[in-house]
Amino acid sequence: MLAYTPYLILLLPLLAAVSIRFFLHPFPRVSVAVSTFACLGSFLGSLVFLVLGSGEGVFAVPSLPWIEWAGLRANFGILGDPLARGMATLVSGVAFLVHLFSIAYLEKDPSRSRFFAELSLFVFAMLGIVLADNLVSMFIFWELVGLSSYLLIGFWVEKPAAGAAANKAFLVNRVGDFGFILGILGAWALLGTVHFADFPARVIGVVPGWAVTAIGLGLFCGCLGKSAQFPLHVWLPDSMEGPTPVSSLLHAATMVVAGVYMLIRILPILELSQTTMMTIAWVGGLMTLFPALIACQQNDLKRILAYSTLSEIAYMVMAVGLGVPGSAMYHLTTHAFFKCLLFLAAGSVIHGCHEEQNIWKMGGLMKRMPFTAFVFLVGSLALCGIPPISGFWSKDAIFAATAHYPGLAALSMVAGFFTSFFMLRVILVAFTGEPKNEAARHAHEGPFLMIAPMAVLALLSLVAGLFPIEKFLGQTHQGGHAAWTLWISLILALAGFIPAYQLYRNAPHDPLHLLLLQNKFYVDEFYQRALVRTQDSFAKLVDAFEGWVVRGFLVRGSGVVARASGQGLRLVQCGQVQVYAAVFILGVFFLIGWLWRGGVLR
Amino acid sequence: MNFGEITLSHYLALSSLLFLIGLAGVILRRSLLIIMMSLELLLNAANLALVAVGRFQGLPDPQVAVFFVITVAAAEVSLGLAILVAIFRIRKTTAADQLASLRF
Repeated sequence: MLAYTPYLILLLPLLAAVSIRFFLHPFPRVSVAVSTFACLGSFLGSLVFLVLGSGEGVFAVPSLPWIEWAGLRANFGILGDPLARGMATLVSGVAFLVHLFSIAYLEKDPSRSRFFAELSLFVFAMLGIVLADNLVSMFIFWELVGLSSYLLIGFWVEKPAAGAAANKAFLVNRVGDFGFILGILGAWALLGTVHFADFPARVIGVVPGWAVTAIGLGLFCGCLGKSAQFPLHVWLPDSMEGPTPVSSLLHAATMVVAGVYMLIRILPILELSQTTMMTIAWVGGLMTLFPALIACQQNDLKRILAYSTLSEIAYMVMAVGLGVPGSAMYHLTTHAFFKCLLFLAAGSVIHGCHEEQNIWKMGGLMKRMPFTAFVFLVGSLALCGIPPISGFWSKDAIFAATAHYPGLAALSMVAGFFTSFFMLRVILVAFTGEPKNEAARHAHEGPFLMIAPMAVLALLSLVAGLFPIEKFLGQTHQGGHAAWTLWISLILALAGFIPAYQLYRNAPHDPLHLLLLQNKFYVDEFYQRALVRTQDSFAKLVDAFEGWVVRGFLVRGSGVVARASGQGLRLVQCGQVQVYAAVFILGVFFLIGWLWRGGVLR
Repeated sequence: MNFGEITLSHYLALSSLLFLIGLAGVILRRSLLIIMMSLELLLNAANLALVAVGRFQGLPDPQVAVFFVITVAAAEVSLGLAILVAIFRIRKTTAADQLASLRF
């Protein structure tokens, strides 16, 4: 029985979510406590799980038989390898800090029971993805995560924009998940198993070909949707309509990196095809630069951070594509710390400024919110990859992997330049200068429960780079160090600060007006034109077919025929009894004659 | 001219003649009373054919059937005349072509 205890890590948040939803939601304080303690329980459980297993590599947990049908065998099990254990600890730990932050952030919200129930559901689903030992159960948790993301983005149900953003996130993810499920079916057909542990042994005899590439790309589609990579990135900036702790936990630190985690899990399949790996690397490489450019001209604090998230996840995707999953996991971990920190700091700013998100209406927050400003600075430096803060070490590991791919190196390093540019822009505009409205003038620090999680995350962001996280995650450091990538990336990252300082020092409004960037390269408009309008016109065509052919011709047509023949036959009824008699007699004669001819009467 | 013996054919010919007269009456005459009389003629034509066949073939069954026909015809006539009187009281006519309200 003791061997099954790791399942508690999964079950505690589920239990919390269910009990809040069904019994505890009229009591917000109890709900909040139950949800938070469930998350703490999961975190401590994961920590014990992590420490217990550290000596022996893989910590075996018995799995439960689940699906056995037509050759598909999928158990419900928990993976005990260092990657899963480390990731579970990371997810539940960050989730616990965000729980604490949310207690203060949503203190006055009447429906916070619902929020915490949904948050617990998310923690359950996310840990499910992390601990899933096969693609089928991972897919189910994958969808559950999508559901909780939908619920949490749309948490403020009275905001129409939140509902629209939730729908957008859900629908865009559907596209990716469609590819993902095709990929799962393909992997099952190709390898005859969906269990991650069996992959390395099964791929040995597989002959590479277009099918293998297609399967890899199908699975990558799941990553495109969940991790918001081009062309399915459009949902992530809109998801910022949700409460800030949600943006912090789901849309920055944990959920959106699930795609990267999944790619690492299925790496044996991806590595079969060089085409797949290069596609992944190049999608990642392009996606480092693309959102970094957009972020330079955005004015919403959370959206800027969202675009930087897109860019940072792209670094991880690129690292996976280049065959260095260790570096990807390393960056995933440090990114979880500093991006969660940045979002919590943004939440603190927004909370302090009375729900103001436009950076041009803030200003001067350095004096009024010194602690938040400090942790935001720490997070920014980590994000820009300035030594010796964590982001530098993990980004350096990824840059080193690009040494043999000058194109990718150029893209990702230029992205670093723009990252520095827009982060300093945010800091200069929001935190320095004069307050630009009343709310910013009266900004104040939040309560202890908001400060404490930020302090913990700031500490982790500062020192995480000093620990060999890769080894802790069971990944060995692949790829050597190349001095030139280190220096060029560092110089570019630092150079990004210079134009930002020149342009935005004491700037009352944005001196740049780049419509292309303000409108996010018109991707949303393109989708509106190409997809939504095409779909609308197709729907109109189908509607016309239904209206004219089905409803008009078949349904109404048959009615008209019956009615018209009835009208015609009615005229036969003349009312003259003797006419009826005559017709009747004629009919009898006709019948007799007919029978006579047929020989019946003879 | 030898008329000879009266055979079954003579009876059947007479029966057919009576039937045709009745038929013509039913179709051509306008008065309901005459139409009913013509109907009786039709029945009696059939009766004549039945008893004739029964007599010449030596069978009792047609003669039994004729008794039934006569009984039913009596009932039918009494009912028909009652309806006729009722119609005349309401519509003041017994002409079949005037009683044509049951139409489109």
